[in-house]
Amino acid sequence: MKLLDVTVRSYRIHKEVTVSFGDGVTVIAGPNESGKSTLVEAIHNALFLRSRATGEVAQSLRSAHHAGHPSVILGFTAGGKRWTIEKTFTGTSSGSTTLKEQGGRTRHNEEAEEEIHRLLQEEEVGGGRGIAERIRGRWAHLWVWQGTAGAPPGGQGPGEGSMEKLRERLGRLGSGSVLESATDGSVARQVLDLVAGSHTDKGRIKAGSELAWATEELEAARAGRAAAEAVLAALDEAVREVDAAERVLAEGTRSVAKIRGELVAAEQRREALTAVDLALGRERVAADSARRAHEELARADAEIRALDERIRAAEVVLSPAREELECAKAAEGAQRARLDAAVAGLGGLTARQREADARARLQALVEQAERQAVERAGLASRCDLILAHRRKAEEIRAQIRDLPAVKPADVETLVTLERAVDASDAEWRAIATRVELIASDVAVTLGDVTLAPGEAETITTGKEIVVGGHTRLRIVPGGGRSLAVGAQRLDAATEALAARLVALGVATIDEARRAAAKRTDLANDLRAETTTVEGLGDGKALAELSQLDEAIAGLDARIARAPLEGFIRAEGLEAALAARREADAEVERLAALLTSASTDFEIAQKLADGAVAEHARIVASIRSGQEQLADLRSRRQALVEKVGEERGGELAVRETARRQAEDRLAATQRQREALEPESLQRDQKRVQASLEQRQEAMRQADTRRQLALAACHAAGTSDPAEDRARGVAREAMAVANHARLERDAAAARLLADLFREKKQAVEDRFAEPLKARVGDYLQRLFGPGVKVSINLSGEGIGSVELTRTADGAVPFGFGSLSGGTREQVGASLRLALAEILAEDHDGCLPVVFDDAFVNADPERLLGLQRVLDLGAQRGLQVIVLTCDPAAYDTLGVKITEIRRPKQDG
Amino acid sequence: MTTFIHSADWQLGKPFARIADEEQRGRVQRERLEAVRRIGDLVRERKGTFVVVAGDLFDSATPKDATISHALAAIGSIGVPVYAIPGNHDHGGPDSLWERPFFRRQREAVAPNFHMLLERQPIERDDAVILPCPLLRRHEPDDPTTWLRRWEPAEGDERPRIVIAHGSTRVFGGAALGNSVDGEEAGQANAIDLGRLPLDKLDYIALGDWHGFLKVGEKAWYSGAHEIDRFPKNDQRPGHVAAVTVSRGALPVVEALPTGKLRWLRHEVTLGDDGPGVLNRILREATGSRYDDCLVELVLTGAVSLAERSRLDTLLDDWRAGLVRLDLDDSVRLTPSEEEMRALTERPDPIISRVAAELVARKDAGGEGAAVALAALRLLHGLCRAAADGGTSQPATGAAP
Repeated sequence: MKLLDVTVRSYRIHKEVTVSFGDGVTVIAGPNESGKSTLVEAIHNALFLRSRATGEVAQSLRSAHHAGHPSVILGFTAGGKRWTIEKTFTGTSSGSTTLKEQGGRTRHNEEAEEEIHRLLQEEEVGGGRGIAERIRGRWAHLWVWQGTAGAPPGGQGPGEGSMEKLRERLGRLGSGSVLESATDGSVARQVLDLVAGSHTDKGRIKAGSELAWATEELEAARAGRAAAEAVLAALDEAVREVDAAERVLAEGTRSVAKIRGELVAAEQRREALTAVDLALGRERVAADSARRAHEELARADAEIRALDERIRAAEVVLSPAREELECAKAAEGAQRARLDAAVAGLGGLTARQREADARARLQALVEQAERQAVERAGLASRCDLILAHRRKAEEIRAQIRDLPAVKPADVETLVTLERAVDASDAEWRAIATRVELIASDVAVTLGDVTLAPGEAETITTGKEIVVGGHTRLRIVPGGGRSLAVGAQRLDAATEALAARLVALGVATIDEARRAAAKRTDLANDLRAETTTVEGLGDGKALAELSQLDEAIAGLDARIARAPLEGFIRAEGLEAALAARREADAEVERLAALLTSASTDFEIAQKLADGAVAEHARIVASIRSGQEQLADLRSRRQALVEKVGEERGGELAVRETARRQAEDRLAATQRQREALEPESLQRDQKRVQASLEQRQEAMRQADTRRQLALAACHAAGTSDPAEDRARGVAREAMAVANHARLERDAAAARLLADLFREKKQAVEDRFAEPLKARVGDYLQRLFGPGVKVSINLSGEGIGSVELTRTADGAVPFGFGSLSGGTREQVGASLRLALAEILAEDHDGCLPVVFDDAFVNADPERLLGLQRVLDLGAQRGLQVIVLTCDPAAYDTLGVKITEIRRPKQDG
Repeated sequence: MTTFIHSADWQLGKPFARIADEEQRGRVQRERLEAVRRIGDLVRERKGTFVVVAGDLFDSATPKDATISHALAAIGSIGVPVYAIPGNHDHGGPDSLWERPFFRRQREAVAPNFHMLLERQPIERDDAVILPCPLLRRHEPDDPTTWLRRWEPAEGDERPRIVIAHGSTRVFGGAALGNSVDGEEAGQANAIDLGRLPLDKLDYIALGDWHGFLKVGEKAWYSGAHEIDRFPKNDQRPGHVAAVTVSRGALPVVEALPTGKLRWLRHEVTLGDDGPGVLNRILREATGSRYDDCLVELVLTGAVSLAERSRLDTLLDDWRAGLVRLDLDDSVRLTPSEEEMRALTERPDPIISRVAAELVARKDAGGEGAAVALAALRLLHGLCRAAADGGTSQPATGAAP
């Protein structure tokens, strides 16, 4: 199919334009807004849009500037014939289509439209919603609309229906088969549905699927069987428990009988022991009694013998003791005398010491009195001085009282007042007129006063000046009232000064000054006096003096009261000090003597006490010896009276009786030991405990047995054995079912995987012819090192990847290419597609590039021209619309220019 | 002369858990009760004066109350005294169902003719002396008939003496004979030594435990189960009771009377070139018109193609629906035929043919992947066939192993 020429009338901006297309490459140049894209759209609409289309698509074709309905006349070849389509779009059902076949008949409207579709091998596009997009999608792989050149070719690969054709073509070119049959598709879908029925996209078992259910059932069945087995095991356990408990009970019964036998034997032993214990008691009493009788006699005998011995010894001891007594008496008398002497010495010394102490105290008082007398003398002289200064201060105060009471501030006031008088006077005088007679031959009088030459007079009121007798002048001072006021001020000031002086009691200011100065001097003197008095202690010193006098009087009284004989009071401090020292020394001397005398006394006392004690001891010893002897004798007498002097025979009889009783006792005791009383008790306890333990164990066993029996008989609503059998069967079924479903699912997944894999492989093979052709074009652009990989998907071209030697053989996708390269690769892909599809269209199809290479630089443009040239060489009709015709100069083709149309009106 | 019926191994309440269908399971359980009622008919027909049941009346020692209740109702309907001993399944002892208050209450109310003999001591009847040898423990270590070795009958007592015992028997010191199916304990523990019994003092030994009708001595018989409860493994005659006529000092006259209704059949079929059709014929011949009374254990071997497998599955589904139970041991190999494989691998559909070829290769390679590959091949075959049928029928995704 090849486009020949087109004429567009009243179509948007075009009033009428005609363009012819060459066989190979046609370049249509025109500036922006010249209607290039409109022209391309008009051709496309002539091919695909029904003339009777209504709605926005058809309305939009109308021209705003040119009268008449939009119409397109398109000449083309198809199916080896030449055709002309003429379509007029009215936007209503009145639009018309005619298709003229060269040398054949002309078809109209519906028939014409159908024939056009047949020639283009395209389906009717239909109407209604989205028609604009559907129309635009027709031959989208051949038609690069303005602004779409850089889009990935996959996204706008062969349009609706064309993909199928492409596949068919590719199939015929490649394996001679088709890409995927309808059955392939339907079976693959069913397989995917099966997989989706059991597994999620991520390969997990799908919730709610049969497999999921079977898995759950398997788990539930396993749990159920385990539960049933547990119940059965519990039941078994209960049965074993019953058996065990019954064994315990049986064994317990036997054991209890045996233990009871042991208890009876033990009881018999206990009774025998009681009998032996009774006999033992009796024999113990008999033996005790025999022993006591024997021992009593033997003890009395031995006692008498001992007493005899002691009486003899006491008599021997008593005689030398009497001699000792005499010596002790003498020694005691001597020691007493010595003690008396020591007591007397000590008494004398004590009296002397008392007196010496009193004297020393008295002397101390004297000394103190003397010291205070000295101190009083000092204090008295200071008091005199204080009184003298006091008198002086009093005199100064009297002087101050006699002076006028002028203070320095008063002087200041007076001076101020004086200055006011002076000022008032000066002011007044300045206003008054001064009359001075300088020289005159005649007498001159001013008022009442005669003026002498050189004498001046001041006047304040008008006065008459008489010069001689004839000349009378009247002089009046200026200033009017001011003069009078000045005079009043002067008077007032003068009066104020005078009044102040009178108030202060002075005549003049100088006198006031003198009085103030004198007053200041006297005040200073008085302050000096007062300070001196205070420095001397003033009142405190006087008080101290009176206290001291009292103290001295008190001491004198105490000294006078002292009852010491021959005491003469020392006069003066020195003497008093010496007397006190002497008295102190005497006290110390006497203290030493007294200490020595005390020691003597203590020694004498001890010796005396010792002698007394020795004497007493000997007396007591003699008395004791005598008493002891008497006692011994009386005790012997008592014993002899009790047992008699002759005792040997009776002693032997009693000893024999005793031995016999003791032998009997020992025999019975051995008999008792033979009965093992301690172990008997232990045995009894042990056997009793064992009996209780057994009985407790039996009680417990019986309880266990009852509980286990209750458990055994608890069944009723279900049979654990049956439950287990069912559980086992259910599990077996669940296992089998699960295995079957798993195997089926695995089979389905395997199928799904294989379908995917094989489909990919087939598609890869299908893409080969396309790859080869795209490769040819790309070599024109990138040289021989380029390789291309194309992935066909169900909907179109899935992806395109390039590998260039220059890029280190790393494949990269269409999206990662630059804008210019994308345009070029896209163009190559379109041309390759067109080449393949063209084989159903007489080997030729038009490929339209509307401003498709806006990003191409000059170097690229060269490669691009090679690409377009190759397309043309391979029979394609390449139509390039551009606003830059210079770029295609080297293509060696005719460039058709269209101008920006003039607009009517 | 005394006539009575000897039965055993009723095993009422047996769960038949491997019968998946609830209704059919209930049916098999009910038939065992019905068979008990049929014993009552035979008693009346033969003018028997009593019935002895030699153990295992119940399948478990812990049956449900409902099971006990139904059993007692059936026993009550027999009309004459029924003497029974516990067997290894429903053994005696303090933990046994016989001590359960419910059982005692219900027996009194519904089946006063029922005598459960739990002590090893003679029961005196006017027309017989019954010598019970109950199993009083789940695991009875000794021969339960030992007490009879020392038993002395009353002088001049001319009543026939009937022993009731349950367990395997030692015949002439040989291997034990007894019920050792379903993996139950082999009965060695409570084996009965017939040789050591004072046979001259006894007239009939009614045995239980072996599920077929079997004579094991001049005076000793196993009656077998009254209703069959398993697929026959050897030459047993289950589904009978023994009608016994006995006199003191004479050999008993014993006759096997059928009581069973359900038929338990076992078939081994090898599938080959003829396809699954042969199976259908065999089953039809074996079951006849009353296939709904039949339980079939089917062991399938051989090999089938993909299409035959589908037909086989359909066939098995049909039989499964009709039979009381179809117990299938399916070891049939799935071997796609050459044509089937070609039909898949040489299809015009480019993807399916390639997938099929890959699956065939994997199948042939063996190993772990082969089974999945085979299953996938089968699935693919089904899907293609469904597609060819216009996608109306959903392909079988493997209704059988």
